[in-house]
Amino acid sequence: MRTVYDDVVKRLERAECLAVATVIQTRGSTPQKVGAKLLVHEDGRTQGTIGGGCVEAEVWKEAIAALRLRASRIVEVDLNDDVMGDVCGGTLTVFVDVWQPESATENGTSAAGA
Amino acid sequence: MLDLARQATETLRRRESAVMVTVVRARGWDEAATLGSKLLVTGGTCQGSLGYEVLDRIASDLADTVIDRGEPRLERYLPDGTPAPRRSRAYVELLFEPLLPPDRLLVIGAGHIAVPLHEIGKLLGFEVIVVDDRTDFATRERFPQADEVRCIPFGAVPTQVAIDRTTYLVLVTRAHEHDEEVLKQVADSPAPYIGMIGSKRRVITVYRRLLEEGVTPEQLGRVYAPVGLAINAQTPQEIAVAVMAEIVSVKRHGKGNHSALRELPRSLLAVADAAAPPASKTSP
Repeated sequence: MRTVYDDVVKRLERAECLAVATVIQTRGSTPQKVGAKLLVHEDGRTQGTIGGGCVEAEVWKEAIAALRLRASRIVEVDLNDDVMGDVCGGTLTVFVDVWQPESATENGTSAAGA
Repeated sequence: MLDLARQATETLRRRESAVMVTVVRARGWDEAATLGSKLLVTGGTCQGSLGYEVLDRIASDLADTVIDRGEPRLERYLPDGTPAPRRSRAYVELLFEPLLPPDRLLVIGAGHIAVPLHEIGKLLGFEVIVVDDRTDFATRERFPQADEVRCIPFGAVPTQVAIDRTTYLVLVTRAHEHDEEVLKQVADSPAPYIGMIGSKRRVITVYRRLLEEGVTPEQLGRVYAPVGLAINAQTPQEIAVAVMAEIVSVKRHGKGNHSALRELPRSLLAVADAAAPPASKTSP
């Protein structure tokens, strides 16, 4: 059984960055569940889904930007603005987390090995 | 960060649970330095840091609750570690995500129903293990999608495969003696689902013998037999659908219409007690 962390390990071991977008809050009618994840690689490829369509397109753009800046960010997606006429209403909060091979901040772990 | 991700994958590989805690908002704090900070809590030990000792402590205290509930949650804290009131201007928001090992489908018996069972099990995201005592049935060729195919005696299943509260177990062996042999050992396991194939007659035979051998009616009352939701399944594929639908219904606390005779063990025991002359009853 592969998990998102298997992909994270694989990418970081190749010295690549990876953005993990996680739905952290939903309000109103949304097809996504809290905890749903979309992985965005530096070359723009994706894995997983947080609902597809316009939501994913918007989160993808934010993820690419976050990867460039090497900084995690919060993204609010308003499904009511959906010009594509999506059946969903409500809003969605997504945390775009940038995983880096070498941690930029020195988060002092006591774990052995580096 | 790599260490943390490695630790997460290794924990899940050992089929243990953990909680990944991430700073997702930091209003009025040093956002650039704090956002994305992580703490991984595995069985009471922590790796990484949320950047503030007080938060690390609070997060690790909440980990067990998050694992029990099995769902992600968000919590807001003030700089001193107390829960942030609504409208606070400065707070840190933490995302707690439980990392739980995948549910496991243990198919005992590698006959014709086991094949579609293992396929649908994988489709539904289960880790699938197939067991049989016949070398020509317990093969990789027969179960290409299974995570594990094991050729072991049926009696050895409970000692060779850890049956925990994420293990869904289906008994589809070729003979009721084998179902009996396994059921006797797993009847008191923490498995959330034990299904056993067989006609009503075969189920009655198995239950009678197990009751005689001291398995309690309460233990047998947990068993779903005849197996599957009542959709009048005929082919092996249809039966596999009925079984997997039943497992989904149990897992999600649904209202599936079960074929199982849940009251049967109790009534069989009542009949046996009534029929037996008092002298033959075991002393209390």
